[in-house]
Amino acid sequence: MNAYLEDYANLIHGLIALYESTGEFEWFENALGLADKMIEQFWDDEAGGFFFTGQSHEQLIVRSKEWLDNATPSGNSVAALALLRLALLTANDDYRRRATTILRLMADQIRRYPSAFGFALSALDFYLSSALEVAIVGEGHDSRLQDLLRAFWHLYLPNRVLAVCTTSFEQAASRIRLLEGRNNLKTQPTGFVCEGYVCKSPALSGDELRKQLTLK
Amino acid sequence: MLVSFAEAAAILDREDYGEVARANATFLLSNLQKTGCCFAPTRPANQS
Repeated sequence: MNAYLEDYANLIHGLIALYESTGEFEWFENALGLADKMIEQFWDDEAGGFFFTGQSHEQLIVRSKEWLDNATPSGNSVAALALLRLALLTANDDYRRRATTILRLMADQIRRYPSAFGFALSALDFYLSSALEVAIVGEGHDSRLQDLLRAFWHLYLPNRVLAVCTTSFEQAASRIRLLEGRNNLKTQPTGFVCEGYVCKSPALSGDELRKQLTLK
Repeated sequence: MLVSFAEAAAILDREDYGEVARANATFLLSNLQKTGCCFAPTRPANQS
């Protein structure tokens, strides 16, 4: 039995969160690999959006698409948000374009029945906001790094992405655009708060980072 | 569940939640792929 769209989308969404919370790059690499696989298997090249079943699934009369967020969000809603987050982290515009297509396809129905599109609305809010791009770089055992991470995680910031690097900077920066040119591993743990890849002055303490994150 | 445990680990400083999230992701990425079940289909579904 092959996985369905929502299996891929939710796992990608989860792996991004796991990378953000641990800084362990392997989870991010897995999220990227699965996102590319999801696009290859489920994307509708003609009309846009993701089918519910993949190309490797047994042949059906119709390949349907799920849009409504019920008790669990639809695969297309979760995929849209996951692709928007990956687009910000990697600067890969293809992910953003596909997410935009999904949201456009949903737009009419969202206007008519907003209560049936809770998760899609979160993705739309992320898309329409200037989501914060935050990078935190430092040696894992340094208490100043923990201070920066604590400052970030103790704020409610729904529309943001976080790139964390505690080791192997070159490897991480080769895939995560947000880290490029911010190799502070050998110096002092540093936080960067950016929008459109333009960053404020580097934050060297939790207090400084907190101020920058709340002064939007 | 993966998102919840991962984020709760960071927000609440609960390393045990982080371990649950890691174990969950590891299971999904290794066991299911290894059995050819879910995330890396390598052949058409109608072939056994």
